[in-house]
Amino acid sequence: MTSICLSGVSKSYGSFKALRQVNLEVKNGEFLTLLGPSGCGKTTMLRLIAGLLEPTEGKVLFDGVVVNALPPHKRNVGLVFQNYSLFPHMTVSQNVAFGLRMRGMDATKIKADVKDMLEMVQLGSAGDRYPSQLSGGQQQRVALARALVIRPAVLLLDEPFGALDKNLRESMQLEVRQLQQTVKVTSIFVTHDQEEALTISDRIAVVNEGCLEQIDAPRSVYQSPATGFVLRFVGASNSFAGKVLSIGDGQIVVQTPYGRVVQGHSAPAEIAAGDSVVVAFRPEKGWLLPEGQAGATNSCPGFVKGAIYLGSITHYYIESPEGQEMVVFQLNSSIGRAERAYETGERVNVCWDASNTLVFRN
Amino acid sequence: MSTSHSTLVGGSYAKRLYGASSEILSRLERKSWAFILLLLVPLTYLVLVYGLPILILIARSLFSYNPVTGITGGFTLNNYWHFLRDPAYLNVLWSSLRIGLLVTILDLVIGYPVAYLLARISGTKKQILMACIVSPLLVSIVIRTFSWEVLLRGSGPVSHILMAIQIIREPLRVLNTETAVIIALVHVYLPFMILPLATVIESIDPTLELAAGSLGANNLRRFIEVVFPLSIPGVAAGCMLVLTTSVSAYVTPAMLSGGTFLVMPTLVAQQMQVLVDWSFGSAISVVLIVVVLTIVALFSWWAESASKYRSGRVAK
Repeated sequence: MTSICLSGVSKSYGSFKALRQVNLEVKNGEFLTLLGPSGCGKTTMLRLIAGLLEPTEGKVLFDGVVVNALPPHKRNVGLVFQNYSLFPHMTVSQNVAFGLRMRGMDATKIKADVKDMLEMVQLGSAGDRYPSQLSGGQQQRVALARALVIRPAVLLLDEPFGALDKNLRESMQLEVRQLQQTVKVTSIFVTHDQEEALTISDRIAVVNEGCLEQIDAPRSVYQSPATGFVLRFVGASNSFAGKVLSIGDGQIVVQTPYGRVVQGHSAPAEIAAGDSVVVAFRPEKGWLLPEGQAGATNSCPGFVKGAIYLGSITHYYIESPEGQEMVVFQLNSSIGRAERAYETGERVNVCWDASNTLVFRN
Repeated sequence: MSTSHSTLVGGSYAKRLYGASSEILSRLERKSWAFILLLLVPLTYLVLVYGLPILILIARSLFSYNPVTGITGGFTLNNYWHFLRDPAYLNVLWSSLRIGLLVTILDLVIGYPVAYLLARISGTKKQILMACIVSPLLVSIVIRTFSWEVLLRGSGPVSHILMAIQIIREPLRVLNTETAVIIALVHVYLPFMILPLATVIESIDPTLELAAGSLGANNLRRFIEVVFPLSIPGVAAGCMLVLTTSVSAYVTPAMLSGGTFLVMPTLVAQQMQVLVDWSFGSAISVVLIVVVLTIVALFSWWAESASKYRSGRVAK
């Protein structure tokens, strides 16, 4: 149970800056996900915390103690890799026991701890098997057991479910979450899959090109993205470029090529009249009305380029006269009650509320 | 099909080659005449150049033969008795084995770190190291052995350097001893230890070492617990190559022993060329062949049992 802190951490490889002045705090017992595209620096951050890399600048702190100089085997971290990295020449029990043996624990205690841990990951009967005899999901559970049995200060997971198929991945995500909450170990999870991040995290840290764009609970990251990158990376979105006409009364009015767009509630502090901005809204917050009908603060005309039926929702792809592409999600259950279905080629009005509009500097 | 030889000779690369060739073979099997004809050419060559001489050798050892008159005598096991009962000859066998074992152990100790380095670096550095390891093989073994003869002379550079730094006080007298032969053989066969080892070590996932490190293993324990056990197929391959070639080495012991002691191949040469006792010489050769085949069998078995985890087949 440890809190982790990266303070002013930078990592450069020659002229390439993998991380720039990152400040990150992970609370005791929390499950934090580092989310970002390939090459954004999230794995670098993980390796810095693990001790596999040293920062070019800045400090790595465990519970307030600087650990920059400590090698991995002195930091008490539990690492889980994407390809499991189980020792193929050892049995499952021997794999799990490895860390405890390195710490010089007494043999009978090791045996008991290993047995308990394997029970916890539901592999109690697999102790004498070799990793090559297990399935992918089972192997990943052994990797988890091996990392957790040493009671690490922090559990570090580097895209651990990338090699599993969709269904297995989803069940493993929930298993890891439950395990983490039972054992209450501080965990840092790296992934590029935003759905995965939304599913399991206490907080998500969105990383882009070596910088932290936002750290927040999943709901806040999704509903109140701090930057345009977070908006585009987490969930789908529609965005328009525009210029701020006026700010006041808790409203920002932006002039876009498609008319005026109004953003309601709070205005981000750094925006002033005349600024170039991007306005955006989430597809599920928009709805379609027949051409010419207005019904909301914001709207944009267009025609239905395509409709994709996905069981519970339909994705509508709309193109405006100026060529702007938009996506609107419609709940199929609402068809007949408040809404109707639309055909390809129909002319429609895309509508959305000011309160669901987001504004970012361009 | 057994894959014991493929795991021995070069780990994953050889396995893929073996798999590919057995696919080709099974495709050819369908057209059996073409298959047979295709095999007939190399098979004939091997039989004529390799199989037949060995059969003749075995035959010579079992029937007394006079090369001068060309007359073959009756069946006899005397040649083998003669060898196995005489402690002088058994001593020669023991010399060969002793030299072979020492060379193998030394090559393993010297070669392992080099193999590890070769396996873990990449790019230009790797190519340079590879060139350094392989380039001696481009030079004839006679020349290399002769170079050692020059180096290890009492009046040679090694002697001078050792005297200068006062490790020895008289000129070096290692030439014409077993030590000189061992030194030269260690050098000559080192690439045969390094290359198979490096191939196998390269196939060991580096994240395994990272995982071991994160679990608390320092460098030494990482080596003992993870790297070495997984490299055993390579160790077996390298040891087998070095042991079999050094036990049956001829040129190097012939040149560096100065005639002061015999190993099996030089004993055979003596019997064949000097004493013209071809039957006895053949028997000694057969003994050597049996020894080498036993070594091959033992190491193959070792490599096979050590690689069972990696291929997923476990006898449970």
